[in-house]
Amino acid sequence: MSSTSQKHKEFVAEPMGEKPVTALAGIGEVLGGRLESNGFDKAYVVLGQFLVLKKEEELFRDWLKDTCGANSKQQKDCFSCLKEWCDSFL
Amino acid sequence: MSNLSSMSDQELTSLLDQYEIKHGPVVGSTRKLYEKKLLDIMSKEEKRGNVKKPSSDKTYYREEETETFFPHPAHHTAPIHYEDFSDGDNRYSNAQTKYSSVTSTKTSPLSGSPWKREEFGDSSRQLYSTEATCRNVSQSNPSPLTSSTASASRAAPARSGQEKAPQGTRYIPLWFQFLVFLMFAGFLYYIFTSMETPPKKHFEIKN
Repeated sequence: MSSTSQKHKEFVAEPMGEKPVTALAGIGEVLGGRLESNGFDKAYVVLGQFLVLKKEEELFRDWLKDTCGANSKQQKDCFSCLKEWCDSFL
Repeated sequence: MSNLSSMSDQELTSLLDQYEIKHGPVVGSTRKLYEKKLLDIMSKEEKRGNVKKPSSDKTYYREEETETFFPHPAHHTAPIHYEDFSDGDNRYSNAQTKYSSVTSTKTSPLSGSPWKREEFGDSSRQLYSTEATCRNVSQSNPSPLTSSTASASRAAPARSGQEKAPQGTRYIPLWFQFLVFLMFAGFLYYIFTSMETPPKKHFEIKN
């Protein structure tokens, strides 16, 4: 049984284009709002941060926690979502 | 040490290298994160009396002094893994295989009759027991070694006393966790047995 959500599958299936930050797995309305208030209004901006952090899990998760207060599960979902997207499209 | 926020990006980068912290470029969006990491490291060093040990994010467990040393990556990621056990569906299948042998021994002393309900009872009991086990493990010691210790102690309560002694202090004592687990299992057993009676009553009413 797959442990990835529907949101994850949808996100990694295609280039993200102009998708909002709430399209990321693990990022809902509340976290998305906090990210947007910090200037991360699109998924690709979060991707940029992910890449600048060298796709390191620990760094990205710490950053996500500091920026929008994501819990461990949300961090994990967002990280694996972006990582898989990068594996396919980057 | 001068104020981190007044330092240039290059200076921060050199500091990060000095403490052997994995990092990317220090840019606008990453600066705050790295400043925070450096602050953590530096405050830890001050507590240790400036012993320059570049162990970046290693959480220090007291058990390490007395027992075997766990590898660094496993040590740090173990809490995350065990937290995952409280979410998602995958862990049940994984944990079930691990604890199935233990829980099967557990069900026999607990229940005489519900061998009929074995399929239903066993799977859910396994789920609950694994949940309790994983909760217990995450609360006490996040390491694969103590999970096996916890499962072994569950199978043989007599031995748990011996195994408890060398492990030092815990945040929540093992006997308490064990007691809570027993109470919970007993509660579930009570529910299962109470579920047997209503159908009988139904048939009586219909007849």
